[in-house]
Amino acid sequence: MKPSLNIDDVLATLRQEHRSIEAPASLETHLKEQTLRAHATRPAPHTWIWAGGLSLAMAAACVAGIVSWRLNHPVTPPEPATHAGPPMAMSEPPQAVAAPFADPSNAETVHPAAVVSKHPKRVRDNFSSEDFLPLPSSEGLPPPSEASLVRLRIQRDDLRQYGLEVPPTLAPRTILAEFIVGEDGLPRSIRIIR
Amino acid sequence: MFERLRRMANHQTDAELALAIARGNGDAMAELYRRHGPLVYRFTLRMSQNATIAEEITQEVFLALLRQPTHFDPQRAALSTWLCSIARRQLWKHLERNKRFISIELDEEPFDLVSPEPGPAEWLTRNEAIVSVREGIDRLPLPLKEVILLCELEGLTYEQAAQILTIPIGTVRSRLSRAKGRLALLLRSPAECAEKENSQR
Repeated sequence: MKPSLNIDDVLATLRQEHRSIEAPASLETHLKEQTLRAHATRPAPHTWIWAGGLSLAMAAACVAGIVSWRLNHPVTPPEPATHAGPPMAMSEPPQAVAAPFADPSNAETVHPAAVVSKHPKRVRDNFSSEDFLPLPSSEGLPPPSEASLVRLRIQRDDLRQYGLEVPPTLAPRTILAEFIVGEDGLPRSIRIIR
Repeated sequence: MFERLRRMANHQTDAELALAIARGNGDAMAELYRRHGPLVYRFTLRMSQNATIAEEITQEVFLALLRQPTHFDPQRAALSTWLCSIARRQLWKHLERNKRFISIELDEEPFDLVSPEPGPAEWLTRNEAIVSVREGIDRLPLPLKEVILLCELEGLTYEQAAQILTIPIGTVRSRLSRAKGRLALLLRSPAECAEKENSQR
């Protein structure tokens, strides 16, 4: 009688037979085409980077535009003290200076329509005027019931935020000026000292 | 030039080729298919016993790699293991959908495993034994069959098989032992089978 065959021997033979089975070659070509096609239809990663960058640039441009517009059309100018610290001196009693503003009948004279302008008012001959010049930035503000006189040294270019544009030929880089500031902290008028 | 490119692709790792596929490199896909396509195809073919189904599933497996290349993590498993596990999931889904799979309790003996050759005169020759075991593998319950295919015919390690089948290594060992035990019965002569049955009584 023949001895029984070993299962491991038989499985080894079957292993060779099994591993001789090849995958269909047609699938290789098909998969290759699918890969190329999928990549052609799929947006490349760098496209997303470009799109993101463009969006950021547009957002930055919008923010810059808004900031620029706000600087040219200030709603609430910064505290005068931030420019040059506390007022240097009070040349007149506040009440006396504020008197014209306190009277509603005089309000029209303080805020004449000619002063109202969306663009910085160009200071020409009246630059060194002894009179207070209503600030265009105070356009539409109610007349203050109380006012303070604040003297400070300010950069010439900083006058832009109050709606005034002083040509470089008419004034030095820094200007000593007096502001009439209402009780709400908003400046109403300016007088250039030098 | 193409030969040179092909040689370059041959030296790339599976992970590098998978990344290249994500960038739309068709040659990388072809190279990975040449490396792992046969394993996936053989496994699905022997499990389904249907060449069309095996081809469809093999294609789906590689397209899954194309669609979701980031799902393959080379730190967790070899690409062959990952592909084979996808193939297995697809295969079982297919079998369940088409009601071709009947769940069989592994503890039960589902069919007669005694050699089909009746008399002692027709004692198995080697070729007959091979045919008998081949058929026996096809008739094994699927959980035993997939273990025999992966561990014995494909030569994967227990660990790799456990990853593909998502079962513990100990379960792989026990299933393999039971599968081989059943197949070994096919190699015994009826006299030996009868002797064994008597000794069990």
